Amino acid sequence: MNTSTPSSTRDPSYAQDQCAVSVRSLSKEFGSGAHAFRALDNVSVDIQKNEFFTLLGPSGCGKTTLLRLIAGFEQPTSGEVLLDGEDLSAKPPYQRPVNTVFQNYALFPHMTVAQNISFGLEMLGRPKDEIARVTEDMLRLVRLESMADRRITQISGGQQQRVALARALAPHPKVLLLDEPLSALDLQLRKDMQLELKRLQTDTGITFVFVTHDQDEALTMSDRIAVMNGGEILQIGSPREIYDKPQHRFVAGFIGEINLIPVQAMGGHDYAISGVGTLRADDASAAPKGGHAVLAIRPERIALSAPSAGTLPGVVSNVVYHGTDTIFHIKLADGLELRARSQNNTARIQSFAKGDHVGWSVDAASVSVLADDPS
Amino acid sequence: MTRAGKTILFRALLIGPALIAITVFMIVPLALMAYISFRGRDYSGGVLWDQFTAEAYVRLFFERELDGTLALNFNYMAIILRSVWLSFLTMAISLAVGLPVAMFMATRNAKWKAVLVFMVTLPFWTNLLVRNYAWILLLRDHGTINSVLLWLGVISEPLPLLHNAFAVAVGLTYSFLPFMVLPIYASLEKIDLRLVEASFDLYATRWQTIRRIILPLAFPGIVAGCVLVFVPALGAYITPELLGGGKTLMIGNLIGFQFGGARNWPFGAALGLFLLMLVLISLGLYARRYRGELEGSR
Repeated sequence: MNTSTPSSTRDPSYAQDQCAVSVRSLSKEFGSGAHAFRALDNVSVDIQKNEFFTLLGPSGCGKTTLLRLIAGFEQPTSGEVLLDGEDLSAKPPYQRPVNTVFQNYALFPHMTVAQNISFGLEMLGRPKDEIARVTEDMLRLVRLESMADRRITQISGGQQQRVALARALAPHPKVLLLDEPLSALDLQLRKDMQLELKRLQTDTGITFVFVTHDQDEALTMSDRIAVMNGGEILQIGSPREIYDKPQHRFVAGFIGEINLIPVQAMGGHDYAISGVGTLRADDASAAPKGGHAVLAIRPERIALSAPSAGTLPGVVSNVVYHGTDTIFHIKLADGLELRARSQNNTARIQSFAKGDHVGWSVDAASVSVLADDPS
Repeated sequence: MTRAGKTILFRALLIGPALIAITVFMIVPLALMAYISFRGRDYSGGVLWDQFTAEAYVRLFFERELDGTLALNFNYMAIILRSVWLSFLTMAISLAVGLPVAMFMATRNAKWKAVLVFMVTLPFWTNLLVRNYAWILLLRDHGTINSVLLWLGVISEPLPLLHNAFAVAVGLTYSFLPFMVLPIYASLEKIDLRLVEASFDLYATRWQTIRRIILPLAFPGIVAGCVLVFVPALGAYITPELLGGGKTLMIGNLIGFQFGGARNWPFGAALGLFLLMLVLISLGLYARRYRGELEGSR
């Protein structure tokens, strides 16, 4: 794309060397005294260069606070943020080579599309011809060439979203921060933009830090995901790791559907479901022999068949048809209800109906063992 | 009655009250004023209703000698020009003072905002006449300001603060400052603070953010404030009367004098219409010049 040389002190530097955000023991409290609220509690994370990194969690988990601390809109109570190994603490937002795509875009309503996009470059004091060229590049990148002279109020929500992206990308920041940028779009547009964002990240090679509460978005786009709750990061991993191997009950429950089964450790890799039978897990045990643990199993990993040896017994209590797949609710002897998802990938009708006795089984690799901690 | 007839009647009833109000309170008085300005002058006060003459307008620029010849006379024009100049000065000072005040107010928290808005409107609770008398106490030769300055030894003779253009400008600025602060505050308060964050995020310093983001977005409020200060200042009566001490006349005093002591109603009406034209023309030019900005930042 653009390859000009770094100049002023406020330069976010076009050169892509060691791009990484390092967050060290970062805490943020709002208010003081008895009314103090700890929005971020001793969070540490390393975001690698050229990475699409997602902060995922429910509202109030501290993900936006973390983003605002990186951008410099908030000052940390303790801890530090490093960019390329350099401490950002003393720098105001306008000296940080970091740009933000705001949740509601925060586009300047008194400027045209092109003026919005070129604003950052102008403030950096770039030469006129460079500003014009980069702005044009950006318009092309987000496919808005024909909208350059429109006012912000004259374009659609999806187009505004792309202008916000182009505006933040134009100064070629070292890190792009995205604060739930897709939440205001309708479903179809959101799906398109997910792919678009991923394409932009790959094309530009800029590190993206993306904040969302939408697990679908996180799984689709991210290289790595940090799942947050209550101001802490609970687990960091690739989408596959987060989905397949949740290490925390909250993570298991927040991302996708999952069955949580209380069990007793039998030693080795065996776990007993009282009154039902035993299950095997590849995971090392999270509990000593005789101790309590919880097994986390995704509904699509449970295989149903007629009752037979090697399967565990259950009764179908409900059948919910979803088109691409069918969800069977399986009642176990101890009263627990499981959900099993079966793909409708043949025209052959699934032969289980409400009240049927069935056998169910799970591959040992698909079972996650979690500590039996009530949080 | 037909359906269409009913609709027309219904609409007439809806529009009626507004039309009547505009006619009674605006069109009739203005028409009356225009009519009187073209009538003859009754030296005992009032108007010679059956006599048509443009004498009142001639008087704006000419003096009639005893033998009936016309000579150019700029006395009235000088007063009109002084009025425009003083009003413009009042507007400029109010803007220079009011903008930072409005910015300060708009950036406080909700509780403070309510208190500050109340404080800005506080002078309205006292009569304008009383407030102008208060300024006389402050500005006169042995008033508060001169006494303090003498006591401090900054000056050895009292400064001539009262009964001049300076006193009128101070009084007008004081009287109309709230009309500058409030509309600017209202437009600043509506600005989404995330736009300011976005500006910082895009490498704009504080000053650049004020100039490129905040001022353009507050522009409609600034224009409204300027109009609300300039227009009433142009027609001010009490302040130049009291603080100008009869020496620094403004057009408002001139008009008052024509209906009172001078007993020249047609000339008073002509002056009034002239003032109205002046205001309309300046507003028209202003609107033309800034139409783009006014629409864009809505």
